[in-house]
Amino acid sequence: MNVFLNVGPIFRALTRHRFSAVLVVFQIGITMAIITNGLAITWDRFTHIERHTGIDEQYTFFLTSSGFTQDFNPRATIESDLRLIRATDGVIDAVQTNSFPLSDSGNWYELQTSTDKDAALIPAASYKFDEHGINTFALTLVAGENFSEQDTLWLNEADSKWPSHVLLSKATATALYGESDWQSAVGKTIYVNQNTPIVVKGIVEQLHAPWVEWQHVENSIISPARVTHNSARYVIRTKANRLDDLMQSLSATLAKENTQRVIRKIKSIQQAKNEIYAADIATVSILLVVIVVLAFVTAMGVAGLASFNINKRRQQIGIRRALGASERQILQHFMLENALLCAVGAALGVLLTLVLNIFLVSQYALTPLPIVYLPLGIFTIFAISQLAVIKPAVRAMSVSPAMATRSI
Amino acid sequence: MLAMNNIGKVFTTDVVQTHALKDFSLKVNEGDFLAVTGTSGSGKTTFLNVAGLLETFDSGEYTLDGQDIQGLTDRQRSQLRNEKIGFIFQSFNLIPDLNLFDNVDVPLRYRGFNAAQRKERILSSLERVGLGKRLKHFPAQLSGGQQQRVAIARALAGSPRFLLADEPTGNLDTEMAKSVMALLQEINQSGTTIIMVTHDESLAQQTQRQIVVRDGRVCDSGASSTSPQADSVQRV
Amino acid sequence: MFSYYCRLAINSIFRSKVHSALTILTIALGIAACTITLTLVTSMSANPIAHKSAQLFRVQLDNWDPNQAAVAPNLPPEFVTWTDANNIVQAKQAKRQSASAITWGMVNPAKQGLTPFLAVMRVTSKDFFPMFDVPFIYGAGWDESAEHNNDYVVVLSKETNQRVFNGANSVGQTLTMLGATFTVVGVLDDWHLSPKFYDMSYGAFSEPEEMYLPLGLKAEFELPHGGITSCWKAVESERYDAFLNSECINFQLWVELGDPNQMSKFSLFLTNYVEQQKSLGRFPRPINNRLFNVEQWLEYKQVVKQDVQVMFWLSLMFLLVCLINAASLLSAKLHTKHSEIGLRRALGANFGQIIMQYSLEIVLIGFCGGILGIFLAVVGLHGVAALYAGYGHLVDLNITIAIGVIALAVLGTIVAGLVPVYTACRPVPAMQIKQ
Repeated sequence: MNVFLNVGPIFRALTRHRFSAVLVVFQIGITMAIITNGLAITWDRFTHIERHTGIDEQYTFFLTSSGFTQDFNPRATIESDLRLIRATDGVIDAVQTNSFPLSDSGNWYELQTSTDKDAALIPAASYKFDEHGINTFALTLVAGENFSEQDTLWLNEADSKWPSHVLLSKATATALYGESDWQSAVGKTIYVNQNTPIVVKGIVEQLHAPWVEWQHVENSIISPARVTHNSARYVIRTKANRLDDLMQSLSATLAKENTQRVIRKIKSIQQAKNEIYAADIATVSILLVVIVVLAFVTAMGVAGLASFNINKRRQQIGIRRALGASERQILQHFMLENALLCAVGAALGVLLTLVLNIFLVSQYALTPLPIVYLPLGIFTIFAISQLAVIKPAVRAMSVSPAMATRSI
Repeated sequence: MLAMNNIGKVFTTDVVQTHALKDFSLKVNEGDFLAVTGTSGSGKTTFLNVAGLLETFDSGEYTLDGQDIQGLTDRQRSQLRNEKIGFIFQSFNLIPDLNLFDNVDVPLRYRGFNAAQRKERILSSLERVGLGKRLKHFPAQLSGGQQQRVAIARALAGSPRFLLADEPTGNLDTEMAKSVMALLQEINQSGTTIIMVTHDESLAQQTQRQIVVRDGRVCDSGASSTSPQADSVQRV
Repeated sequence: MFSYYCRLAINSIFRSKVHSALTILTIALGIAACTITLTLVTSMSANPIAHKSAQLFRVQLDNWDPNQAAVAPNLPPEFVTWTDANNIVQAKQAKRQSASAITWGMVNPAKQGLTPFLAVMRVTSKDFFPMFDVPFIYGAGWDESAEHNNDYVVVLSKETNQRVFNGANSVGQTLTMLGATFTVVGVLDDWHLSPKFYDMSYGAFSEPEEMYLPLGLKAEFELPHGGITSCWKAVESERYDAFLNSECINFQLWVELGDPNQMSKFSLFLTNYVEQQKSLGRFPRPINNRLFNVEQWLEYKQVVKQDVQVMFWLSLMFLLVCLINAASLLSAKLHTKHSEIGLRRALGANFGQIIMQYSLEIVLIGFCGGILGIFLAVVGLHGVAALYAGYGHLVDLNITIAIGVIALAVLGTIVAGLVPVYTACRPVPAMQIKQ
């Protein structure tokens, strides 16, 4: 016998218990609206947090060395520090830099392919480090070549000199020369801040700007320079699983090596990332907790209603069993009853999901819900509600046919 | 005491109209013990509900203890029920969550007696049904007969003018039934009017007066041939 | 009678423990979710200086790029240049005026065993302290002449004073920092406005700075530019004074204006000032001065995170689901009470008395749900504090919310129970006596 032939009688029976049926339908509908929108926001944030910055985020850390005495020599300190760090066992490479992705501080310049007044200005974040940078950040060179040691300039803070060669991120090259011609940037002269000509020596696959929410986050320019400053920032990449112990031991060694400075802000890239995205991570975590708790509450509500209905209908179930219904058919009866309620609830849910989404989009500039979330939401709500009804339905299944003859 | 004149009661559903009571007339005097019998569906339960002010009626007149029932508000009807009528049900209808003391206490609370008055009445009425020592027990700890005695104690606690009993022995075995019946007769003899609905002919025979209800009307009325004997009362 | 209903309610709640616990838990979860988001929203949208909010004004001038507004579509930048900050503060056209910026530098304390540390500082004007009602434990801000002469004076935060001087009265003591010797003139008491409306460049809920110096020292010591620096035109050279003389903005400019009359006078002054600067070749855009008071400024900066607002709406819906669930549970429970209700009616209870009895039970359940909800919210808020680093002070549950939320729980439960109670009590009593 086809199970779905039972839809009519079950539906008519449900309309006899209007109040509780309406409650469950609303509960399912609102739950679906929250879960669907919540999942969409969660996924949106998750992909935002997890996008690549172009560097090795897993085994990289950074620290700052700040000199505080009158006779502190920044350049000598940087040179000896880098020699020491690079020679340390477990360190893959290290570099002194003005900034790095996820650091949230740095500056940017505007680039042009010519000095024409109408040539497009392409903003790009500025990184300054020496030839070890490619290796330290685990960047992939996709065109041209890395700097040589001779390309690298020593600059002091007040020095506005530009080195003769730079590297660009692929996105920057694409913005300057177009989607198909980005490789042609190698060897060409570009202009920084409308006046300084420099030659593009190579292109790296990807290197994010320091500010994660920047509109042009993919655009960056690397110049081979070491800027001397009382405070110097080192970025260090270690071999797998050496991160934690090197973070401790290296900062201790450096502090001991030179007592005219303090070592501070020792953090892994992963920690920096967690701090930068703290609000998003919090949103994702809270939403996930809400979704799980909500699913639990609604499952409880559905199970509660089902077992209440089943208790009320024990004699009826007994009569059905006495009239020849198999255990399986009793189970199917209640699963189907639940599925019917759920279908009505999901229909309401689709409506509420869209209304909620339109409200959120108009008020809070969220991205509109991708349509794929609707079937996902419907599936989720069906799964929750069918799982919730299994236990009470199994109990209904075990009602003895003898119940038919018993008066309550 | 109780006078019904041409009472009519119609139940209307989407499909059918059922005349549960039709031109129902009855007069019960103070101190009567009246048995109402009839087949199921005859209208005897509806009569009991109307008599007990649990249900309204659609036509006719009903005077209870000199008071016209027509047009009373829910509050007034509730108060009348509380003060003048005691109920005894087939399935006892004790509240399972409350102990005996609290069960008997229920109508007294609505009556607005103070604590001392309530306590005195509860103790004396439970004493009267022979359960004065089991105040803290819950209904589930008692036998059916004992539960019905508690229900009777509850009905008596407010000193009602009359008792309405609906198949009071229907859920009891013969021995217990006998003792409950004897208790009712004793109560009747101390002056309380009792109306008992039953389908048990032999039970009906033990009362002073019987009426038979059929199709919503009183169709037969007469006095019992054998009057109950006071010495047949048994105590538990 | 009331105590009788109470006893019946408690009895009934304890007689069906699992059911009552589920109902209470359901309500508590919804209440907790709302309490958490409501606490975040209210503490984020708090006005930390409400009593002076209407007298304190953020000054914005439009010195930006003639071809592109600083903030789309046509708003002036949020900060001012060094030049404008100094000109306007020195003009003294308001009751009080202060320009400030975040910076940092090395401090070499004399205290044994304390290594030099990098301190986050605020360079500001002397009016900063009285303007924002900054509390002092020792001493006070610097005076007119110290400001004028760029004396090496410093005001320490309470924590810094604890760290450097063990919390003693350090007024008059010296402190070596920035390679010079400074004199302590004041020590603040605990002071943490939240949102930190006067400078939100490191976030609306960031920590206050560790010490405060006269604004003029920024140029003298060439202190770094903390906070947000933004330029629409390239700086002419990398020299420090080139930055100070540029169109780069970095300074938070606030004025205190006593009355509307003073406000109109001040805005006239601003207009004249910009006109005068235009004649010097600056301010290429049309005059676009703004004076936002604290309330308007917080509104403009959208201090309440959008995510939190979204979660607030979601949590309200969550509460709705919980209340619906509670209504289902209550309806199921009251179904089992039909015979008791009928019986009580037969024994003389009127409709109102029955409604009272069950409403009281529901109120009690709602109240328990509210209390448990507050408890869950406190736990949840600690979780949130762990997630939002630096938001620790935002997650203290305030008593108004707590009371309001319990009231909401009770009210919500009454609404949820209304239909079940009414339908359970409504039917003609007779039909329920016989089972």
